[in-house]
Amino acid sequence: MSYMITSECINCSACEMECPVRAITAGPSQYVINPNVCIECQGYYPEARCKWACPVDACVPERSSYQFRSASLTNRGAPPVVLTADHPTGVKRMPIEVASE
Amino acid sequence: MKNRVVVVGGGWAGCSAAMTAKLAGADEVIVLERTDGLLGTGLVGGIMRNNGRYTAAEEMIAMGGGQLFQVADNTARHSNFEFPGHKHATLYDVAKIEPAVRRCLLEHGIEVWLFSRVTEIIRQNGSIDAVRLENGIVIHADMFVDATGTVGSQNYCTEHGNGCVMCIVRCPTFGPRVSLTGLVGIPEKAGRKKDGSIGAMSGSCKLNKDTIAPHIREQLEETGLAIIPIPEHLVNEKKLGTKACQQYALKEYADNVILLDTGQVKLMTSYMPLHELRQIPGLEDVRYEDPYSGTIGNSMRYSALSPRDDHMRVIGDVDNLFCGGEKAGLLVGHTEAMVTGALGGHNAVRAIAGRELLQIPDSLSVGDAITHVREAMKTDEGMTEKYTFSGSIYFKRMKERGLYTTDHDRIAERVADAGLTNIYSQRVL
Ligand SMILES: Cc1cc2nc3c(=O)[nH]c(=O)nc-3n(C[C@H](O)[C@H](O)[C@H](O)COP(=O)(O)OP(=O)(O)OC[C@H]3O[C@@H](n4cnc5c(N)ncnc54)[C@H](O)[C@@H]3O)c2cc1C
Ligand code: SF4
Ligand code: SF4
Repeated sequence: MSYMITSECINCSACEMECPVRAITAGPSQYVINPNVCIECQGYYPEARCKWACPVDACVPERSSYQFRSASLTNRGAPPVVLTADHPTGVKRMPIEVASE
Repeated sequence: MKNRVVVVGGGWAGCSAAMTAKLAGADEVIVLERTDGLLGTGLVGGIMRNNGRYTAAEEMIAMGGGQLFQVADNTARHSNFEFPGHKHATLYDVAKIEPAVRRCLLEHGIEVWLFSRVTEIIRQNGSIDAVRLENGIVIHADMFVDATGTVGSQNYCTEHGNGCVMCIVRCPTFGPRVSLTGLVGIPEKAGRKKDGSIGAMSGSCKLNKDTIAPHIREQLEETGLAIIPIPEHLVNEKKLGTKACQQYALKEYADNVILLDTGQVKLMTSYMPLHELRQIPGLEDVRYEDPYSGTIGNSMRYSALSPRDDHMRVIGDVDNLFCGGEKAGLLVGHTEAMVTGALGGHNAVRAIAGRELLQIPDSLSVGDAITHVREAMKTDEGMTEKYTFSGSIYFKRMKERGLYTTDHDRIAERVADAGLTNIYSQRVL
């Protein structure tokens, strides 16, 4: 498990300085915690240090549904809607060859 | 092997680049757009053909690249109309324009991909081999055009503006703009305000038409324009300096609210607290349509300008990248984006064909603007200006150089003298 930062984040950077394992970085629109690095401050502090530091209570234990919905739409893996002359309102099938990696 | 041009960004610049690339004979042209529709910031503007933009539009038509200008003309709510500082403007309908442009692109055989946000490139030596969308799909192409604009992200709007105010760009939903030039690793420049700080705020908002007094609404629909004096205690001239659109930094704009009919009501100011707006006679019940929080701010632009040459080729460690629109310099406006985008798209195909790249001479306003702005951006002072055919310093230059005219025959003649008649509608491949 790890902590996460909600969209309440006001980009103050307080948590970034406090985190003992440097799990927190500035993301495109707010600070983010790398869940692979966060250890919930076990062995360092009695409670999560970011939660202690955050002025707006944005650091909370991770909830996957929140993470999912707060990601931008395309980041959730939505397929492109492809418009062509024959399908002016969009096709599901990829009309050209694309290498999916 | 079929050749392919991928245009990243479906604003006016990207649409225009796709059109000229297709007209020049590219086999496949794909526009990748991160949102649910085309036109980007073109969904909220609407003013065309004002002042020198008229000349530029007619030059484009004479060069055979006027298709999108005609689409805009066809959806116009008002043409040949005047507002303070501006003559013979056309206002396209901001609601009708996107479907019309989309249809035009599809009819020309261009593919439009929506929900397609580019977040990564795959490089091969000095070239971009492919782009990868946020959802993992990889798209290869021979040439790429960076038409990603310069608006947002939330960080940028927060740091240099007054925060995300939920504008038409909708960064929280679709993810912020990602620059192709930036992904290549080429350092980009940022435009500056007069005081030297970074960025520039967009200069207009949209109000909901049903929330203004009926007599103003009627006047707007009939004439396109309403000018309402701002009560003395509210006049706030200081604000004008922060706007992206210098051509509107006139005193008329500080003393009045200026409303234009673009389908919605275009309010010619960066932002204004709703409670102040509601003290203006006739606007007692008014509401913002875009940005939703027009009360406190507007989107911030000019964060990431690509270094480029006069062919619209991006200069740096890459050989198959062109650019257009706001990306290509401090050129503000739909017309400006279409003009630079068109050249980028056309030259992308010339590059595939191994032909000499097109440069538009300075005997045309379109060519002069492209060269002049690139030169001007070399100086710090130049970086604090915005350039547009429609006003401020560049329109002045157009007049001084005798480029400004609304005489169609004269424009056609100039284009012919430059040897560029219908250049954009001729195949090079
Ligand atoms: C509120 C407002 C009012 C304006 N009013 C006028 C006006 O009346 N008249 C006028 O001439 N000009 C006006 N302008 C200026 C004009 O809209 C712009 O200068 C011009 O349209 C810019 O076009 P562009 O294509 O370069 O950029 P944009 O319109 O910003 O388009 C860029 C596109 O790229 C997409 N994109 C970005 N990154 C990616 C990615 N990684 N992958 C896929 N897609 C991506 C974006 O979603 C967007 O659609 C206005 C601007 C604003 C903000
Ligand atoms: S302490 Fe809270 S508000 Fe400050 S950066 Fe971290 S999460 Fe954001
Ligand atoms: S104001 Fe617009 S451009 Fe700026 S962050 Fe918000 S949605 Fe994006």
